[in-house]
Amino acid sequence: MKTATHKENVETEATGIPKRAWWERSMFLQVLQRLSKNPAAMFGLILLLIISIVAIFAPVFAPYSPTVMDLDAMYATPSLKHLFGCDEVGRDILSRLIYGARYSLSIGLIADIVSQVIGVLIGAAIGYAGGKIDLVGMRIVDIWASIPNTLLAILISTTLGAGYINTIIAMLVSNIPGGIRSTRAMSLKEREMDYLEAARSINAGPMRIMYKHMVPNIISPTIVGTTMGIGSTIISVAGLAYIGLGIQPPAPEWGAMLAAGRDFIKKYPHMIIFPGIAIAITVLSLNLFGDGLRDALDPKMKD
Amino acid sequence: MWKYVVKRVLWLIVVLLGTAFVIFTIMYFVPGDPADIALPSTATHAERQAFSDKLGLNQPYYVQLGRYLYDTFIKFDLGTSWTYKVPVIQELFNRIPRTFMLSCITIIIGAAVGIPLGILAALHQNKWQDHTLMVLAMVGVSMPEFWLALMLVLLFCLKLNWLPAFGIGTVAHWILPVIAGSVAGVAKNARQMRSSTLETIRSDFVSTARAKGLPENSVIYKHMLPNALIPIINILGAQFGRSIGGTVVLESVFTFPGVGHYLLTSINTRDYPSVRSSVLILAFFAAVVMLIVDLVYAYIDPRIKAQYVVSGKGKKKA
Repeated sequence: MKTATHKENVETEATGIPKRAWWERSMFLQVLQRLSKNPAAMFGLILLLIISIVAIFAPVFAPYSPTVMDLDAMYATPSLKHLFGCDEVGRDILSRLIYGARYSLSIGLIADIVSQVIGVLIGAAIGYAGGKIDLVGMRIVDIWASIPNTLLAILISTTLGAGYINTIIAMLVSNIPGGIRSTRAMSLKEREMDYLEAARSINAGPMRIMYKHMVPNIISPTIVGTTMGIGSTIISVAGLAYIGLGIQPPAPEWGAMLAAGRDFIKKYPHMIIFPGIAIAITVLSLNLFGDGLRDALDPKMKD
Repeated sequence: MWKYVVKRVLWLIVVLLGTAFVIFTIMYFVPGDPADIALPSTATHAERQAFSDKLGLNQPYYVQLGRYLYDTFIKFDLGTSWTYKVPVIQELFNRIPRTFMLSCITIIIGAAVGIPLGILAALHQNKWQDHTLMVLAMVGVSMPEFWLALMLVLLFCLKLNWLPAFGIGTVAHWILPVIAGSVAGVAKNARQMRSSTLETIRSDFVSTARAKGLPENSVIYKHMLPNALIPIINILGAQFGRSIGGTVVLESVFTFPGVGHYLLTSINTRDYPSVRSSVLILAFFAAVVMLIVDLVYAYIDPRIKAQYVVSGKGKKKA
């Protein structure tokens, strides 16, 4: 798929074969068509849509308020009244999970998309520039990435303090080097391609060559990476909250709920079983969709 | 090849200096007066002044940075814990081997179990073995490992009473942390190995081997697998980094007395010299393992060696 659009355009003009209609050429529609034939990916996509809709319209779907305490229902085990039971102060766990999806999805989405955009902008530039810029740039990224992701996020959360925005910043800073690296590796290969030489020969400026010509051709792995990355960011955010550095209780964040429930693990295990399942299902849907997206974007990889 | 090794080792030193610089700089902005944290609330103004002078806290940023780097890399002094008033290195000394062991065992199990499963799936592509393994692997990569750890504790310690839930001492203490830590690695390696094997199956040299009439076993074990393994080895180093980060949360679940547990305790007591040193030590191990993996990778993949000889530059980076 990578360079197909360019090659095809060149061939059509040179050979006089009639151009195909726009809907046949649209990469987006082609990808969508291939995706629709992949049951696992469609399952992931539908699951993801359901989770997103439930999270966005949380007040509609949640049977109770996520913060109102019902002292009669303290530690209530799952029942018809409270499907997933209640926590130590009688808050409905299902409702808290529904509201908690807002934290996980929004942080995952924002942190991951922003870090990938920054990664593509910088990675494409230093990969395309090559030479000394690439050397110095990659050395800086190497040092930046030498602190394992989780540790860097922990360090930043310690310094900035807990909270929504600070969690996003911690995730951003620890995710950016990976984005730079992968884009840079691809643009390093791509810069020798003929179509970029052609763009250079008609005197296109470097910005135009990099971001208008090259980036669209190397973006597919980044799109897949973003999808999968949201999943691992959601896990990291939950981990950060679990050790007390991310979103703080009483906010209904999934990791924070796990941290609060761990003291009651022996008597009331429902308090930690359901938040974990919520995380796993959300990440699973993202991974299924990401896997399908990779196959759809790169037919060569399709087995 | 030796030139490559020397270059990579020298680069490791630069990376470590850079890492220390990044850690120091981030921690420099931690809010709060260290004297408040380290000294009892009854400390007089003079005592606080003496404390700040001793640590050089009134000096500008670059002087403090220089002092920190000098202490760490020349004097090998990681500072004194504000909470326990003993050198941080003393506390870390016992904990480092435990964390290192835990990470290493996790990575080894991840590779030793994940790789064969991936090969199995690829060789039975689209049959039930493949589907079952890949569904399991998908679930494995989607679960947060600390939640898996909690579930294991719930099942094996609290319900079945088979294993101890926390602490260290016997082999039994290690079983659950190791399982919880390796599941994600096994799943990731199986997925990676499957796609890497499938890619190799389609390559020309495998067709050639088949075409010249080699027995299928010889095609698989002599031609396909060595090539399919190369990308996996490349990602093992990065996995170690992730595993080191993951142990921090895992150690907190199992109250496993490693560096990660110490790090979290130090964060809670705002014992920043200990925080700084714990992160530095963990990053140091991640960097060293990454270096070893890179060297092994360069050694077994003739393409890297060739690249290096031709261009005179190490193209492979950590």
